Amino acid sequence: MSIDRKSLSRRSLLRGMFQGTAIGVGLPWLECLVPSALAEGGAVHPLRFGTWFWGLGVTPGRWTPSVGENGELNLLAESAPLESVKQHLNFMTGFDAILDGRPNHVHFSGTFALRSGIACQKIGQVEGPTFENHIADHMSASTRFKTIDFAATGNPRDAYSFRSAQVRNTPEATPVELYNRIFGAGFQRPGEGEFEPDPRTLSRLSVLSVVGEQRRALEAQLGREDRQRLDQYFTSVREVEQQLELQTQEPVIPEACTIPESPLQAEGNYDLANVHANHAVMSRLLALALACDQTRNFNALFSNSASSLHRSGEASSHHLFTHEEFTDSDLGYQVETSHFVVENMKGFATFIEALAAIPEGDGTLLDNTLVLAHSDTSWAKIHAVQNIPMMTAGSFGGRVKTGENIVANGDPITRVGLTMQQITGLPVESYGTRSMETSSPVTQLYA
Amino acid sequence: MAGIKSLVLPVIGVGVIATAVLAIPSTREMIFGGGGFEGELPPPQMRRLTEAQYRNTISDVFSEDVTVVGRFEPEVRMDGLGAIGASQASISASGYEQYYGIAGSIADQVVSDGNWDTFMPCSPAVSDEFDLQCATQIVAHFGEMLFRRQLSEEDVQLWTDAMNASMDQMDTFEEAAGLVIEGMLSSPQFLFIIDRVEEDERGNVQLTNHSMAARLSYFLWNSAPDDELFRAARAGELHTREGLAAQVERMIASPRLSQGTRAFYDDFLDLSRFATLDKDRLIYPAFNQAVAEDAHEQLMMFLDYHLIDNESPYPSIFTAKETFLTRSLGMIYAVPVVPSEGWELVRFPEDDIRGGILSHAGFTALHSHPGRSSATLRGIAVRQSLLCQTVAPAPAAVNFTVVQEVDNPEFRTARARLTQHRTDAACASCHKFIDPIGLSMENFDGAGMYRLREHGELIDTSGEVDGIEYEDLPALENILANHEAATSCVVERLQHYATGRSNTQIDSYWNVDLMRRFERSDYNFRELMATIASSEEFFAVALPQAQDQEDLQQASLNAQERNS
Repeated sequence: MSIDRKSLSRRSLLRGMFQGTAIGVGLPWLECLVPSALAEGGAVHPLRFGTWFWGLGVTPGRWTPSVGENGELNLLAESAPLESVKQHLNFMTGFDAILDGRPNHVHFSGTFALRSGIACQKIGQVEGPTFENHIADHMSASTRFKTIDFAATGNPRDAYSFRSAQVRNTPEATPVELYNRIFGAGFQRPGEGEFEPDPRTLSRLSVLSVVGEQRRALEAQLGREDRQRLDQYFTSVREVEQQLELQTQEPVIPEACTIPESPLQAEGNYDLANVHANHAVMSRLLALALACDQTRNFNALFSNSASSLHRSGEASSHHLFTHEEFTDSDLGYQVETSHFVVENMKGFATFIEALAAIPEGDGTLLDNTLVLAHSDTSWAKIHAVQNIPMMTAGSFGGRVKTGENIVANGDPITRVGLTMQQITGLPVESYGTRSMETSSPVTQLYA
Repeated sequence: MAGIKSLVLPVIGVGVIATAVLAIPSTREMIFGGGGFEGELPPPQMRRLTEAQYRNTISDVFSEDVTVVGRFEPEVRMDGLGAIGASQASISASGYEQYYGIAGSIADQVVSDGNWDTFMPCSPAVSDEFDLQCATQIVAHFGEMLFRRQLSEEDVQLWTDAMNASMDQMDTFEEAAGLVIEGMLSSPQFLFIIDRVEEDERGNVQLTNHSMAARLSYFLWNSAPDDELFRAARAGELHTREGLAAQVERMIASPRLSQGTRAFYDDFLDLSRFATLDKDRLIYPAFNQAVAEDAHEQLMMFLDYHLIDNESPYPSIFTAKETFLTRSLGMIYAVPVVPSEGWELVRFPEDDIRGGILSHAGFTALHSHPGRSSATLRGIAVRQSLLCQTVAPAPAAVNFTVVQEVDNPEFRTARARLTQHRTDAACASCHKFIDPIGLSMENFDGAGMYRLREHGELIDTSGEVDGIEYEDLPALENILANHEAATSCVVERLQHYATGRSNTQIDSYWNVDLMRRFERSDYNFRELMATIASSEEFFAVALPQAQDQEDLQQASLNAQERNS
């Protein structure tokens, strides 16, 4: 089924989106997106949603926090790097990818069970779009970019956001690429005097409309699958058109927006120190893109599924350690593997700090953001897709509680996907397929 | 079924494709001699241009001096090839932004003062007025070059109107022309190679001459058709046996063939992975970016030298003794290289283990971890890429910790560690199939440098593959050179690469025929390319699949909503 998003009807919603993995209902959802400050007559700050990914999960018993008598989260060795930001976080454990007899495609099935609601039949073939695209279409309808995605590993293939089986959202893979996309040529700086649109931009728009006019003639030549590919292509064209249209209007630069200098050229690779350095710069750039309202959605990646992170001078990578390292007989866990989990969590702390560093109204950018962080697996040593570790960060304009430790009991991981869609205002009542179909959101997150 | 052609008739409404066998000789039969083929015909295709195809096309349509700067969409690999993925891939929003930016920068260069006369078919009478005649020439010329078809009058008008309208905003004709070129380069008709079909005089479906030209040129040259091929297409010559044969012969003899063969090697051996190849600098200080680039280029030169220049039998790539080195690669090979810049042809002695494809730094380093070699990755590469065999993915619930402890004094070599691994029943079946091949390449470390020992222990490179025992790597290479799967694999991959599709029924019959011819030609790869390019199956096409009921309903619903 190919649905034109612009003409998504009530009927289509009832029939279901996501190739039938999500069922929509006509809820009064638009008001969910109106920032609370608007109602109170204060300054309006947009809400943002995005994901943050790390590979190879955590070590059982060394990451999941407990809640102390004072209600505070007590972090363990692998979650300890998050101590300074834990008041902004929720931990979610006990959610499973339920495969219903389909194969566990290692480092793949877990991620896409959450993101598309489907346990994939074939490795490497995502069945249907991942849910954060629908959130982005909805939340970033008027911003310059639907989403800004980055991979700190330097590899543009490290991305798990799919608009369809055929279209992966290509991330920026180095700080300079990310900078150029956000603050390069297309970024409108506030000028002096009266705003006048660039005549060239107006002409470019009219020429681009000729590209669109060929659509019908082309469709007639194509089979059904190719028409869908063409449809996706024109969705991408539409985004560029929208960017050009925005350039013909006077730029509105939010107060929290500062325009950074271009970062230095840096190589992208899986060397841990380099990934940390690039990730820190890219997190800051993304935070500024959000502050400047260039987009309200993002997908950030610290390490890939089956993490290839390695420390300079060592023959083994994080992935090799998870499978080959002996469990320390005294300590009862894999020491090197555990170090890498700690490094990933340091990365998440950096990311959250970057969002929290930008003041917005009485709070920070983070207060108006919801981040869903997750991994591809739980205990990587055995490729477990039960109990996949997840966190959220930010209170999304006061709509999401923080500081919670939410423990499910083997519930479908799609409950979290459903919750993210509902919190961000999508009219979705149920999400997921087969045993992972659920209409039960994680209500403990709701403020 | 000689002399009988099967025609696919789409049945609108029920989403079912019915195959009817009609006893009508087609134009194709008249060209190809009436063999016909069995099985359903494939639908028309829409293939996304690869980065190399994009670059080659710009270089060939304009000039190699036109710079193309930007990030391209990552390749999508399906069924072992990016060429098949290109028939399934679309373009993401962030990807399209890049293509649009690249298009703008190319257009600016093309219409700049210094370049206008070189690239443009005409100049306007005066710069600040719209010149319809010149605009029409520009649109028709670049329309054909970039869209690989002749533009209809309506199409030409659409673009010239846009150009005329731009003149209201822009100061000069040249700037307006630049915007039209930018638009054409951002069009799906440029970014995808879209088959166009027509009916011949008997009502049978066939590719248009221009679509045949595009199929030929992107297969053999990995680029757009040249003037002569466009001329032949306009003259309708590709629908005649002699016309097609003449073009294939000319194209195979052209220096541009190397662009085509290189694109195939890249896809066949998945060499796009060189772009993100990561080696630990402390462990392998000799392996830097220059080495990685040279190792990639070395494989290309090696294959072209043996398969195209010398027309050696394909299996010789396993046993060859000649290859090319630069000074940077000389560091990896520990071989002195005389020229300080550029390449030197070297011949290894008969008893040297180096020379064949498996000993190339590009192969051994690519199929390794950043900090060490990997017998398993190398074994998988040989099985999957060179023999087209399927290796099952690793089972999920396996404890690997028995596998490798690099510093364990009992298991000093990869063989000792992997042998331990193979005692685990869950792992054994696959690793028995993969590892022996990779273990025979253990004399090359993770950067492709020769070594006799690992952790002080002599490396044993003997093994057993598909029931045959051998002593060392050269012996394994001999076995692979005589392995049926090696020759059938390259035929199958080249066939899939050329058509951009996995096996359909007609491809299975065609494959048998191609195999027989390949064998008869003493495994001449160059001839195999020509045979494919001249085959009727290469151009076979049916009508596009019909819209099914659900699509039609949805379209009508969308239309109603737009109107309401």
